[in-house]
Amino acid sequence: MGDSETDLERDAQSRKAIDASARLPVVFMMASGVFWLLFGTVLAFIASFKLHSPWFLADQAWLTFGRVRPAHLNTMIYGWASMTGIGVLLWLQARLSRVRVPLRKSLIAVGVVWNFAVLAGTVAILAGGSTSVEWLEFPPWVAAILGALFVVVMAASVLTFVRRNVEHVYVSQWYLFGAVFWFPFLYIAGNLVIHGTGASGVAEATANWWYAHNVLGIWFTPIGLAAAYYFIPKVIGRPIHSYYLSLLGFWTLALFYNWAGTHHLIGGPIPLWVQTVGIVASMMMFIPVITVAINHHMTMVGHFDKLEYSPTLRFIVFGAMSYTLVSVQGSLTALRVVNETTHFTHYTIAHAHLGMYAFVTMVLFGSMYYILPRLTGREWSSGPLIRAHFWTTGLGMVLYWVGLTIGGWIQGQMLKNPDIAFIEIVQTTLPYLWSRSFAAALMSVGHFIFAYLVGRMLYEWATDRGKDRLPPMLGGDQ
Amino acid sequence: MSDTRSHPDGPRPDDDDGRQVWLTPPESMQHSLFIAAGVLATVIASYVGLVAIPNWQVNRLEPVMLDNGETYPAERSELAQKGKDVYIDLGCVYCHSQQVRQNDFGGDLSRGWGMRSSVPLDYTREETPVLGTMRTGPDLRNIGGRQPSRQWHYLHLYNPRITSPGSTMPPFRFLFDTVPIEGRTNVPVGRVDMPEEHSVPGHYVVATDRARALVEYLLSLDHDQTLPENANRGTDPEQVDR
Amino acid sequence: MSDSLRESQESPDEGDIHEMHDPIAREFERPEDGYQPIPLTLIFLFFALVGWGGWYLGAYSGDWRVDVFYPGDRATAAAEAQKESSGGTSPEELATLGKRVYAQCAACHQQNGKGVAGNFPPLDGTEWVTGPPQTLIRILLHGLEGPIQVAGNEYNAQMPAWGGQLSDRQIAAVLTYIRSAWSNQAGPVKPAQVESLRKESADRSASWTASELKSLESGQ
Repeated sequence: MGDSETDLERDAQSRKAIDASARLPVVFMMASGVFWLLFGTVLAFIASFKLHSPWFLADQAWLTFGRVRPAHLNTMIYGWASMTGIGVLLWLQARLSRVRVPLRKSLIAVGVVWNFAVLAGTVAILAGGSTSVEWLEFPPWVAAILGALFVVVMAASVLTFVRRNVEHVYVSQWYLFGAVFWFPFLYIAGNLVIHGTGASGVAEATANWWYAHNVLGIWFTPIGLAAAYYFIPKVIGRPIHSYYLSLLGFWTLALFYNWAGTHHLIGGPIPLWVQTVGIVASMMMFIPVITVAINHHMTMVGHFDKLEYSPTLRFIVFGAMSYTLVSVQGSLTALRVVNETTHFTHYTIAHAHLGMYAFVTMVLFGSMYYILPRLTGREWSSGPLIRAHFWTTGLGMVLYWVGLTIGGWIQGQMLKNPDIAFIEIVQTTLPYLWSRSFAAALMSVGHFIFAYLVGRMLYEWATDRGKDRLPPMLGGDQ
Repeated sequence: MSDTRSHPDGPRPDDDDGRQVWLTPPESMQHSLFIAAGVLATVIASYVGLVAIPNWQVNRLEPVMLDNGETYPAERSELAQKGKDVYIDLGCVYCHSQQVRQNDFGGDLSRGWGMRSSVPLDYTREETPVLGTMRTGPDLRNIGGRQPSRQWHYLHLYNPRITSPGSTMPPFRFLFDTVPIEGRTNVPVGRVDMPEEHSVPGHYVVATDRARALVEYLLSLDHDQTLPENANRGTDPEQVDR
Repeated sequence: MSDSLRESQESPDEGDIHEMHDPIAREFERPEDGYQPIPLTLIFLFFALVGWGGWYLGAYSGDWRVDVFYPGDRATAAAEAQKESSGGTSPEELATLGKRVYAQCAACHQQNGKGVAGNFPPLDGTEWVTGPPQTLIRILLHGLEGPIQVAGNEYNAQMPAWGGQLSDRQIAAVLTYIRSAWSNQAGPVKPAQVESLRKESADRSASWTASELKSLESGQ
């Protein structure tokens, strides 16, 4: 593409048209996502507090820990991360394919029904309809609705991709296109085999962890990586380091990630070979992870000063670095010698949040900071508040991870020693559980700040105000 | 807005590094069919490997005859089965595992969570095995053998700190009714023997149907039976080799 | 740049120069690919990792069997069978096993043997534990109910029978353990003692009461 004035203008006009087509479905998905983020945050805080103060809200069955915890997980996964993720996916694909978002009305309908389905599923969990199958707690009928909706999203995404107006397919496209095939298959097959009569006994547990690990591995991770691959070169204004690394990273992830889930069952009543496959696949994940880390880092090198100004870049780079960290941690945790200590402890909870929060959620925040102003034509209203959002969530996450990782490791070491009474272990973990509640409070503050920023932007958009505001810079004198 | 540098995400001066092509990018990565086939192949392969094949292997396991002539695993009573539904809907699995790991892995056998480790055969009759991934509380695979007292379980559910000082388990008082003693001629079914200092004056504390079912289920959790040789062997703590 | 898109898009608002230039000022039409080669060292490292993976998969596949659960499982099966037939009965071995069995008792009597005041009697520092082993064996085989004085306090609760759950050796082991744990210093219990008392009371199904046991004790 030449850089002449007319070319630039033509590109800009095409972006404008695409953004106009994406406006309603994507904004709706993201606004719904923010609603579920707040909903899930409240549930998270209640669950966290209950772990060290069991008398807290203990008189009602619907508020017992065993219901609030899965309600938190499911609203975050299927409400916040999936809805926002679909918004990011639709927008990125339209931009990268240079076509308008197709099936716009259907997508808005999908968003509306999706919200009701997640609400119904969450109420069902709180009311006692949970299946207690981790990551699949929604009753089967809710899962059936979500599965059908996914197919519509998949159709829109495939249409976008096959109609593309670009010759060269960029790496983000592979990940997004992969995700829209992977997830519907995963969700529908997982639900059918677990809630149907397909699996029973320990085979249901292997199916469960095949599914649950892959939700992160081949649904959120591809979206997160696609966003990072898009926004990093976009914001700093240089090409991604190496096409070959992109290619290697994509296919090795596709090959290895979906075999890793059974590392959640190491040592259990599962045939050795199933555990071994999970361990080997987890270790093999070093290949895509190192590849992607090098590719992102080499693209960033010399441009780290831009982190100071761009909210998008800050959150995305935080997320991309967390991806490397969480993956390396995950590979090592799969080794039997490490797993013997960490399995069944809070260490695993810290690890899961490093993946779903420090990586996925932070990347989604970063993406929204970029996408929403383009869709609404309004700038973010406050630089200091964006900074506050970044530091509360960022520091909160670090505190969360450090506290529970250390606490979980100690818990695991004590569990291995039969001379230590169980109750002593329970008591030892208490300070770490308090530190988690403190971290959760910090992160909650960040979420409410973010919700305010999004809400204000949408309000200004709806009431036709705030058009002339200049974009906030996060730091420096500019 | 005319100054392009004024926007945090705005265009930056270009650098031309890395534009020289090292190898020709493969043509296939430009085709939607190729990518779609590739990604579907990977996920279907893992489905076959981690779901279908283990399922086929495990489903071939048959219940066995124990030395005492009983079939194992035994069918759960109807009440215990109802109790399992309570266990599932209250989400006990988020703090309690139900598996004794092999070969004293993690000290599961030394800690006494079972006289032998769990094997797939133990779960063959379970539609939803609740293996669990968290031990905020102890493993419950053999809690029925370890703690066969119904009253203990009632007290523990009513207020865990009566039986286990220092516990962080939430109380499940909503599984119990308080019934005025006055005017009753008989002692209600499921009455809990409350210790003096925890009793509710003038009232019986009575386990609801759900509490009774749940405790029945907990008491049915006892998978310490010695299995015949080669019947999906488990290890016993005295035979651990490490 | 696409033709079809240009045709289909709405015509830009000619009057608003600001709005038209805004999308240009905001961003480049990125991202693009760069084409730096993959470092050879990296390729070498990845091959090494794949090699390790292949080796590990082969070494710990357990022959892909459904009844092999941990590394070295099958290879040690024969050795295990032998060990099973010759479980040791020395006091040390019994105490080690007994400590594991005691996990089942700790739910009530607690890990430190002090019980829970008012509900579950202590095992530490009471004559019920350090006294004649026959009494203890009987309690374990058939359980105990009704009022009982332990260490100066009265308790009234049901101690379940363990005769059906635990073998002679396990009962001897756990008793050996509690008689020597904490501040207790009584002698070991032999599996043979359990075996003979089990035979003697084979037709008993009721729990013992404290007074029954006391009178049996004084008769011995």
